[in-house]
Amino acid sequence: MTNTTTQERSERWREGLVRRAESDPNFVAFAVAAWRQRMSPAPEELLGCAHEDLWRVALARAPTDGPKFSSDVRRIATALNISESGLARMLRFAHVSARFSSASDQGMLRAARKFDKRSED
Amino acid sequence: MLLALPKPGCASPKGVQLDHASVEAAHQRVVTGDPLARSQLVELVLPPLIAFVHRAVPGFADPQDVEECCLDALFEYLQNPASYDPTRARLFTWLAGKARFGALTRKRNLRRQQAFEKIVTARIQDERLANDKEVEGEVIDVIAVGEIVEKHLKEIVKEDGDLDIFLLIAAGARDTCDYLDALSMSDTPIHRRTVIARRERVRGRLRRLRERL
Repeated sequence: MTNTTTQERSERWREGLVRRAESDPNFVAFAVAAWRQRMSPAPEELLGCAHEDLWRVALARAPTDGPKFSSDVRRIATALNISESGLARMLRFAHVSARFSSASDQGMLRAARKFDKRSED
Repeated sequence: MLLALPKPGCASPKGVQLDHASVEAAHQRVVTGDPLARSQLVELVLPPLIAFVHRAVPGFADPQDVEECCLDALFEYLQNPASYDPTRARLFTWLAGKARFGALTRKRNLRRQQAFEKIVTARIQDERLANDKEVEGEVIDVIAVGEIVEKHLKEIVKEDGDLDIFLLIAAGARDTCDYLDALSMSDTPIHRRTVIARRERVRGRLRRLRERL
């Protein structure tokens, strides 16, 4: 009984931290939440980890989109024993969806026009 | 008032162990970017931190309020681990100070909220009393009408239909159609004139009755 309560409490605390991290793009939690919202399979399935261990991944610092991206992803994947390709896919998706959601409508239209011109050529 | 923090390696309340050396080592690993260090630090620090703040700021009705303050402090650290300066205090002390401050602020806000809710509740009760007065007023009106009917009926009711007219006046009816309906009269100009005249006669009798009483 006591063990169950302690475990439930710990889970609640972890969830509380992850919930906070989900709105900060500097945490992997942000990418996990974005993936869960729009994509499948479930994040734990994509990353190849147990549901109980997902919070550890979520609290890790998210690699920035740059030349060190691949090595940072490998480092996280090795340390947390998760799928490197799954994590990379999840983070790329989060980067792209964050860019899309922050882009203005005019910018999106301009990009679409350029794309149309290229396809006409 | 400052509460003494548990010494390295000693048992915190409810058997939660706190190992400051491990906490400091985990912090170093967090700073150097070890992905596993963050969750390990959370596991080390969070249970004793919550236990400490529970002791330091007692009196919360909901224990989750304390937990939220501790989670805020720890998350703030995780967002920027470099904001902690190891030369000034131990990480646990630094986090405990932040969490305790957050808990005190939250407690103050809750107290203010409770005081405000008390005022609102008192106002609602006042409004209810006011409404009750209206109900009382209505009851008194009904009793008054009952008394008039019982004691002064002959002075008011002179012909058929006068009682209906009196009751409609007592109920506050203003529309002539209501009086026409009560007297089973069709809506014609002649009937309207008749009804208005009869209503005015009954009102005149009531005025005179009031003057006498």
